[in-house]
Amino acid sequence: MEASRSLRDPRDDHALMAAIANGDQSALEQLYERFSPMVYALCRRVLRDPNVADELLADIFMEVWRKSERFDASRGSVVTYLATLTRSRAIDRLRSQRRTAAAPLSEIAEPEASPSDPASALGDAEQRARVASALALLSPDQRAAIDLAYFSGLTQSQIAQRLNKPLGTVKTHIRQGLIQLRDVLRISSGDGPGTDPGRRKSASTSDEVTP
Amino acid sequence: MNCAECRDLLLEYALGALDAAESAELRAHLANGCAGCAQAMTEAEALVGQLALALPAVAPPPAVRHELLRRLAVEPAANAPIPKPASSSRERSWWLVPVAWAASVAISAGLAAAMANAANDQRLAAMRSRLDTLDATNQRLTKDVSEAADRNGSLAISLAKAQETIGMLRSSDLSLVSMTSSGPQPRLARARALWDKDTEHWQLIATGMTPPGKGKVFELWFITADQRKVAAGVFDVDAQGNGILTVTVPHDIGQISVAAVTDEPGLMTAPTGAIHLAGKL
Repeated sequence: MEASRSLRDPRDDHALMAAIANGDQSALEQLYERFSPMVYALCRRVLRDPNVADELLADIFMEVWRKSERFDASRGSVVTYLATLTRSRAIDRLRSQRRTAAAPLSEIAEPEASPSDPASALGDAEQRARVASALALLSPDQRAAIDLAYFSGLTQSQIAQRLNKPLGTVKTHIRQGLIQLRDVLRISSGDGPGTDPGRRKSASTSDEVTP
Repeated sequence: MNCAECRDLLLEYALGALDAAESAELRAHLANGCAGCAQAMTEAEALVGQLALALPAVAPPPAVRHELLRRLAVEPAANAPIPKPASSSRERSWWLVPVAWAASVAISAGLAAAMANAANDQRLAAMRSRLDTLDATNQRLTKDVSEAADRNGSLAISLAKAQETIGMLRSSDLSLVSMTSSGPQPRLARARALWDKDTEHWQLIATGMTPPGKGKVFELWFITADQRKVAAGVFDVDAQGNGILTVTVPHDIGQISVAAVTDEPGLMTAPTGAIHLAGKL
């Protein structure tokens, strides 16, 4: 669990989470500085509405603060934890909006995340570029299905309806897309997410699912 | 569901793409505590989490940071080392309990008079009363701090908004959009919007507005050249009819030809209410 130190910050991500669990407010502020651009990008991407995204961004970091014991360093990196938490809360909010909105969300998700902003603040362009190029290797159908599931919170059946495709086809697109993504990322990196230097081993070595 | 079936669906589960029934089965299996499946789940989550990293990072508006700090000041973590009434009362009970216990034992044993504990009782009562005073002081101070934090928080937000406006005025590419009253609004109601094309921020400053009505808010819309109505954000006005809303213009919106404000029951994705303000770009 003890992780190597990041070059750009004396305290690594796991140490920050440990300090937060001890009630160290400055650690939460550092965590915010480090990850809010990623968390905010995800909030904006899922929710679209800037005001709702602003609100969720503050809520996410308050939740990290209040429930710091939920983070389990042995179970993965901080960046994965934040991404999973944010995505889940954002989708919850999106669903409740859909229930209350008079009309369905008119803006259908963009085809894929655009890697068009190299000068972004997350500070790990390499990691982003790796994921973006792995995504670019997927077929448009695979990308669209994965995108609708992840960023719009649709299930396979809902995606099939939305794209007007047979459920089996959508399932295949999602499965093959994810497996390809996993394999490409495993090859392109011997290490885990680069935004989390503390994580030494995240690329899977098991092969429980084969294409 | 067995391990093989579980692993077969983990990636889809982590992506959130499974239907409710399959998700429930999978969760039930994971809850059984199978270490191999839990590890595979962690890996699947790590893979799916990377989809978020593919997004270009977006710097959040400074007001969110202020809001977070305000909430932190008002509500320190349960585990925070900041002294709070709860933790101080726990510390107090540490030594008070034995004293109280000793006193009650003494009384129940019928030895009260013999032990000249009138003096003890008096001391105990004095200590209790002092503790009550301290507790009351502590509570009052905590409340004061919390109120000060609230005031500080709202000042910080006002300041952040003002700084946002000043920041926009420094923009190298700034447009001013005028919006005039329409429909239910008095003739003098109007708004100006600063559109900072450097940062794609849009700040609407409305004045002279009649409030939108009970249970309603104003919602700003960008209407594009191809007649799409894109929700931008909601705002309310104060007693003087003034309101401010800062939003980020979606970078992929295309050409905006009209901005309009309607009254809505909440944040809507398509306008339903009357138009209160409108301006051509």
